[in-house]
Amino acid sequence: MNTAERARLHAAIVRFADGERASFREVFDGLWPVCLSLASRSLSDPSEAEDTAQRAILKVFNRIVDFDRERDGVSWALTITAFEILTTRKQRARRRDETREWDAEDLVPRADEQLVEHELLTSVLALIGEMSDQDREALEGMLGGAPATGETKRKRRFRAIERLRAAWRKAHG
Amino acid sequence: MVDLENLAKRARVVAERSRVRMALSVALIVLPLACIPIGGGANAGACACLGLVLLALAALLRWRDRTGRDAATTGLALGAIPWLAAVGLRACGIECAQFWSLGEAEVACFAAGALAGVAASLLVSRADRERRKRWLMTLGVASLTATLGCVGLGTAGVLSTLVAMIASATIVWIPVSLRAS
Repeated sequence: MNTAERARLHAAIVRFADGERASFREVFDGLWPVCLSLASRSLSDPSEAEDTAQRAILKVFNRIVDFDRERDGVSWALTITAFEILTTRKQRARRRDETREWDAEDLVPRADEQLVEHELLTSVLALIGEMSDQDREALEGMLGGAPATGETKRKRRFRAIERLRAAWRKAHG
Repeated sequence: MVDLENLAKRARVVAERSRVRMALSVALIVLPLACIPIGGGANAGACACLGLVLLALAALLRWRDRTGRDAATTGLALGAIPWLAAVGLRACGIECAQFWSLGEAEVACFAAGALAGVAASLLVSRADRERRKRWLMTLGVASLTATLGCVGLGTAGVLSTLVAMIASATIVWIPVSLRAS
């Protein structure tokens, strides 16, 4: 999704939240692929991804009346979808706990989960690699678990995260 | 494979249900506005009727669109000025004099109504769109809220509040709308 499409979709979300019922189809048709794409990338089972995306889009429409128009509509919908993905993962883990006996294998992530996590980490690291030296240093410190001591370091880290978010949005929508 | 038409239908129903829920939540504000004057000795039937009308109007406006939602919020907040004045007077044991005479209750209601009317026009004039519609809706909600408070004081209190509110709002609104057009 490019910037113009994203801005158009945000405007439609704002119009629908403001009460213009005619914008419903535009919002639904715009948000569904976005939610489904994130769910499919994050969950290995396609049917589970579809169920999660469906639940996420219903939650988006349930909360759209309280949508803060100052926020980006697509990012807001993606945040709700991400929470729904986390819920699905937790439910899956709980189901697995209930149906299987504990053994050492349960503590190790499944191969497909490892792959997805690896891909996500690779994408993040690639983006970090393209950033300025100062931002890279701040983010690598954060990933390494080093605490940001002092106001300057904290601000630098905060700005680096903001720039990373913007770069992620630009790269992955 | 997801049935997109069915999902869209469900999403539309969910959105509309959430809009209705949000609109009806205004009852949490209208209910005390109607019950407190009854507790102060106002006519229960009149307060209940006015409360229901106010609830219906505010909920309808909030359900309709954001302009209505903003107008209902502003109207309730500004209508609370004469409402508070009237409830306060009633708590002090002051009631309206006879219909044609001007007592302290009528003066207080007039001043509170005028203040609310001026504030309504000034606030709505800052809105970026649908100002005339929003002005009318705000004034409607504010008038009903004020009436709900003043009903315990008597007819003269209600009339003086409404006349002051509508007159002052109109006087302030005319130059604003002329400048805009």
